[in-house]
Amino acid sequence: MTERVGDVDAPTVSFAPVAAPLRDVSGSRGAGLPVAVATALVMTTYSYLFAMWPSRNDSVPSAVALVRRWVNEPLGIGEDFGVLGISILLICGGYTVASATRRDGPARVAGCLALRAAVPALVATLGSATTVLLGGSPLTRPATVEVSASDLAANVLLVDRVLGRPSLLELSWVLTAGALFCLFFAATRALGERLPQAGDALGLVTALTIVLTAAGSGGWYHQLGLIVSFVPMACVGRSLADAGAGRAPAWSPVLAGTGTFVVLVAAERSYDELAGWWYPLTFVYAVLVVLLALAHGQRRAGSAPVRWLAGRGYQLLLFQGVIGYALVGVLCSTAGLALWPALIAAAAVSCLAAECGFRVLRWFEARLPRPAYRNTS
Amino acid sequence: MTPPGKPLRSNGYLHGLDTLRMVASVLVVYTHVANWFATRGHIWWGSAWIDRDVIGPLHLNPALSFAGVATFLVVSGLVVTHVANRETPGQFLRRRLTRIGPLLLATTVSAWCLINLGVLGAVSKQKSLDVGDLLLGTTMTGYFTTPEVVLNGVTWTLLVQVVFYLFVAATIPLLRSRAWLPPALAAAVVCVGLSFATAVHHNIPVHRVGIIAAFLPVLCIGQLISLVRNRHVSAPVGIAVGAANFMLFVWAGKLGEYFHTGTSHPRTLLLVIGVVILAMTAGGRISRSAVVRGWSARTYAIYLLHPLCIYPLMDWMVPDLGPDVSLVTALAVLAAVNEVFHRYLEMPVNQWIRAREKTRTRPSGRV
Repeated sequence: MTERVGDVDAPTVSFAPVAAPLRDVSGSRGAGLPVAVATALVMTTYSYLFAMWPSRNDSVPSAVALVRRWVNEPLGIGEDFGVLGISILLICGGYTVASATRRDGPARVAGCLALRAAVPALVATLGSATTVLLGGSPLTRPATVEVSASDLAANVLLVDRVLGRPSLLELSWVLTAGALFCLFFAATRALGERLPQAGDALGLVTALTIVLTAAGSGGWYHQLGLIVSFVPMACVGRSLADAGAGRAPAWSPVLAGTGTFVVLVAAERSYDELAGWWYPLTFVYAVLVVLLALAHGQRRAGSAPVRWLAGRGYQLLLFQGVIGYALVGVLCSTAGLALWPALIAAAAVSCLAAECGFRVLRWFEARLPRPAYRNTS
Repeated sequence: MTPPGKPLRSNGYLHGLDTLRMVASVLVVYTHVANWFATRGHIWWGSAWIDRDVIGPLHLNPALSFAGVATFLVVSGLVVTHVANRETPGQFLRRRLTRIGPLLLATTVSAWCLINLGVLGAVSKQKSLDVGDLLLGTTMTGYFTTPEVVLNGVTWTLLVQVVFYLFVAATIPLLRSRAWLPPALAAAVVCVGLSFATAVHHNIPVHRVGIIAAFLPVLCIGQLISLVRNRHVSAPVGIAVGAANFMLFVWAGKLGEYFHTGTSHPRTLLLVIGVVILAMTAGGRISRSAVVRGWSARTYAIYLLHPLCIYPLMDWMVPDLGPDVSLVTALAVLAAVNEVFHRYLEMPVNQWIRAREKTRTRPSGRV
């Protein structure tokens, strides 16, 4: 994979409402989780803003090249930490959804996801479409897209990658994978309540079946298989949450992790699109980061930067690609600003947008008639 | 390969480290078993499966090389630093050397006999060895001679450990006042050592210095884990100094002269560091079990003895009995020989030394 470490074009796939209900994880068992989320967000921001924009525009800064040569290549972490960050977020997402559902019930969590995950995703998609229509260049796949009504609908419904349509959000695959996990979680909740290991096993077997059967097919099912290969990562988070709460034995996450590893290896061997990216290794790193955060991150989780990132992380993940990425182009090409100041300014504006999004959601939540998702923290 | 000293009792025994030692000993034995099959041209289903489904996807070294050694070295750095905190430099060195010395002597003599009997090949390729070679082997000075005299190939890590012991003994006062300084100093020393060794080519002793310098950061990272855990160093400082040591290790890999068993040492080390930090919190039934504890106590003997048992037996048996039966038999013999060395040499010598220490330190105030 060394030849692909640092390569900028992410594979066809990407996750979901990861950080939305992260504030909900306030119990002592998951108290270190925000550290993992914050780490992941630093990674994704670095990858998709500081490394991907310069790479797509043939102006890779020497610092990024240095990190690729001395960190990414020796450690086998591709795509400038981007997919490592996404993998951590997927695991944290599974953990959060499982623990929040157990504590607050499925209805509240569904409401919470609808407001805190779906609404920002919709706003980001529409924002990206508007930016494209205004002549801007947000982070899309492919790098330049044209907006049509059907493409916009596919993006809003999170099926753009599955249908092979242009993605207005580069990370739309992550949203799709997250949504698939939520659907699967809802479908197997009853079984998971009684036998958590059976829920995990069913998830892994389903994912493996789809991955293996979709590999040889074409069209939308092939694309679905690519995305589904990442869904078991969220199942690991779910399993960790169950084991942490004492609802499943300690070996349960080990089984889930091994199963996920098997799915990723099978996917790597079955899909040309995934070959050479070393995702099984990336997954192992991600699991280690999450476990270390859970075991040792409790104290750091209380620090202001970590709390800020964990609370606004989902918005930041979305807006850095729409606002930040497009802004770098404007600042560099139109305003003639140097790359580093432009990147820093774009990151700052993305953070500001994430903060605004967070505050607007809170304001909106406070005025909703039924407290379906209020008081979930 | 069990590092000397009882593992961290001040804040509770770290049972997870026992489990890690056990796992590390299995990994080291596996590496040499897989190497045996690879070098003799045999295909064994076990190593073929691990090559395809573990090493391949994780892009680790062939035969999981360095995974076990990295675990041993990180755990050793961690435990040694902890015990150094309550010992004088002289006491520290005496205890460490008397801990590794007797078994090293016994296994080197055994290797010397086996090589002269023609049932084991010396790592340094000599067909017969005299008493001088035995002396070079037992003192590990054979690593610095031209040609090298290496009787038991696995002892190279002890050389790295001994250098680390000397470094820790020399910096014990600093460890108690400015704990971050010794690992930072070690990074500087490693930098100089690697630069020097790389500049001087085709010189066996200097190349050996380079190998020691290349692997010293692994022990220093273990030291930092201990210092951060015991709050002698803050986490940010520990991470910064640890990152410097890690980057030196990456640099050593890029130099291309010191890691002979693959190119995946940095990611192997990173995975091991993560697992060690996690294992420190482990205290479940498995890690507290008598099996794990007993196995952990025997890992140093396993480490030194397994090449002497497995290689000759496999050479002898595989052509007639096939790989599976031969391997099981060789492992059974290793377990038996190991038990003899542990029970009738390692433990009694250790107890005798401890008893002598107690007698020495007991006040002679009887009137």
